[in-house]
Amino acid sequence: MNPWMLLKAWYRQYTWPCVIFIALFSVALSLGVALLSQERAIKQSSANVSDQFDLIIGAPGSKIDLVLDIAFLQTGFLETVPTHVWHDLLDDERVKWFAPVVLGDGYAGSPIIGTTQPLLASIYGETENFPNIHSAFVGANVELKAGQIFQPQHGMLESSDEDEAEEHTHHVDYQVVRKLPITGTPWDNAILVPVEATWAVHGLGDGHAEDEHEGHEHGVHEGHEHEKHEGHEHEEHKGYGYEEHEEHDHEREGHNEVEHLGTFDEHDPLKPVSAFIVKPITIASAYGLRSDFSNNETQGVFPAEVMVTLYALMGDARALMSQITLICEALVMLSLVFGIAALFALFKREFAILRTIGATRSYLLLSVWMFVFSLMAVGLLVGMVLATLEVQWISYMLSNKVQFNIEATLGGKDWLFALAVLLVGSVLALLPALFVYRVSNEKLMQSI
Amino acid sequence: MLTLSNITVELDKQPILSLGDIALPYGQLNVLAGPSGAGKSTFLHTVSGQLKLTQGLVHWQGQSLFDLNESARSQWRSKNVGFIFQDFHLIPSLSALDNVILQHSFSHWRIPNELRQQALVLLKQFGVKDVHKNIGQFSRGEKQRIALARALSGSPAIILADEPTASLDKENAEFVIQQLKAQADLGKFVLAVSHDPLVIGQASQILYLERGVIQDESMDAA
Ligand SMILES: Nc1ncnc2c1ncn2[C@@H]1O[C@H](COP(=O)(O)OP(=O)(O)OP(=O)(O)O)[C@@H](O)[C@H]1O
Ligand SMILES: [Mg+2]
Repeated sequence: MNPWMLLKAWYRQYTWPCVIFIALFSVALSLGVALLSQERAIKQSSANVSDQFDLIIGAPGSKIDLVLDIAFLQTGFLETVPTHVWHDLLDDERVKWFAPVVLGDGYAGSPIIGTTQPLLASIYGETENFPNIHSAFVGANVELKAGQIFQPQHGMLESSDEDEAEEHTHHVDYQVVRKLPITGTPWDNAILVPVEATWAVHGLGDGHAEDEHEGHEHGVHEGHEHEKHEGHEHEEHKGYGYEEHEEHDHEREGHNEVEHLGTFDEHDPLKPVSAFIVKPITIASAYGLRSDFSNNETQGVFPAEVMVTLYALMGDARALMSQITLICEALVMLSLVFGIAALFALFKREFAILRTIGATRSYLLLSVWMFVFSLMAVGLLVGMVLATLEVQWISYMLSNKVQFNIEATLGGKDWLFALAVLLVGSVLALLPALFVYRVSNEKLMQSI
Repeated sequence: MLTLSNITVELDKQPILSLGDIALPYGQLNVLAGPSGAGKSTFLHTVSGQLKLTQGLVHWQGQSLFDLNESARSQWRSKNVGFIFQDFHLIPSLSALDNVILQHSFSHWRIPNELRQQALVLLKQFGVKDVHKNIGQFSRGEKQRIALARALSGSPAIILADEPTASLDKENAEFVIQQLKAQADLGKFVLAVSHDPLVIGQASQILYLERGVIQDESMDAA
């Protein structure tokens, strides 16, 4: 028994219906597979991002917002954390290192993040500190070159005193020191500057105790800035601005400021920050810190834990998605099955001829089943090729949108899903085959 | 010898055939005639084992056909019966050659070379030139000759034809009749349903069927 010859005839005779069926089947399958693999990829990729942060301490509020704003640098609005937290963290021996994150300003679509060296080290493996208060390290995807000078666009960081802030919102220039290595996270789009600079830009001072300022080199040279704020200089001797020190600039040139930037002690008049990224010494200390900093002023958040909550939400969407995919698939297959059943009158004469010239019922059963199944199998292969392309395309689009790398590939799970669809298909293909198998000769013979 | 004994065939609970004892020999052209709706096609489908008998027996060379189960009857038909139809009933989208050998794929995984060679010889003998051409591209006369080749492929001992000349011009009709006679002369069983005077004129024996009943079974034409 070899139905191949008959199948060839059917493929030729019904080329267009076959092509259309394969197209529908493969597109429906590929969309399902691509969406599911994409969902996995998003989960994996976002976990890669959030895993870089053990503990985030921020102002009370939505945990998800805090993680999205800090780990994923989604520009939302964050309340600031009270300044004493910094001192608390300095004193806390459960803390291996911590770094502040000040959000609010941006440049050409890239967030400007005020921080300190440990964060550079942790995220980018950058061993050097900011050489001066005007230096900026930029992520791999930021469209700024080393040496380039740029002005931050005004952000939303609030000062406690609006007027004061307004007056001291300078057109400070940052100079790009160097590009940071690629991380595949939203932090590739970040511009990193000394935390002192972000305060100063907003007229909050640099956060260092005034008596020490005399000895500090801030490297602020911008003449227009100086002129613009000249009028305020004498009212503002609380260490808010840079102007105060400018007269010393030339004398101080060459002093090593690296040791100073980002280094504070309990006497420094620290300013608010958006959040702290904390590296606890042990898991136990992580839990201790989280509970100690979860009060009415602050909250401690494990990003990984928040992501699990998010994934749970995504999981619901995923379940819905795979159901919709399966339903689409089933509809396409059913349309074929019913198409064949509905068009049976057309095929009837051919089956009658075949029976008359000696085809057994089992031969017809096998032929019809193989015909339908082979179309599904081809649809499956085409669908998986399409899915591979779609996955790459969606990954590309999504990575651009969310600013971090989403690398989706078809895995064993996707092939399992496809095979499950095919298995269902092979059973469904039995319907028209059995229909033809069971039809009586009396009925068939009427047609010839 | 084909022998029918006391056969009744009902379709949709309507009696279509009601036959007494009939015997038809091999080696001659037997013709079954009768008005439309008399049950001629039903007769062919019955003796070829496709329609169940309500009652009676069909014997081919002494073997009771309905002792075989349905699947075995199909296989028997595939080996022993060649069919020719008025409208050719070839499979579209297959070449002339594939139409002739398709029936052998029912029982073989690979079609034996001698069957393929025989098909080519038959097609050549019947003047079908381009055997790999799609069936749709042949004329009616050519189609019936291809159908004839299909019926003779595998050298079945029984040839059943249902109005084989009704849709052909005289020339092609005569060719078909000639071939049927030639098969009879080879000692095969040949039965043709026909009202074509050309066919009837060549018949050795004519059965006349009306409303499912044989009117005069011993009408020797020759
Ligand atoms: N499968 C069937 N089910 C029910 N009735 C049938 C079936 N096949 C044929 N009949 C009926 O049986 C009768 C005989 O049909 P059949 O086809 O054998 O006639 P016929 O002699 O071949 O006619 P024609 O010369 O028109 O081909 C008709 O009345 C027909 O309606
Ligand atoms: Mg008929």
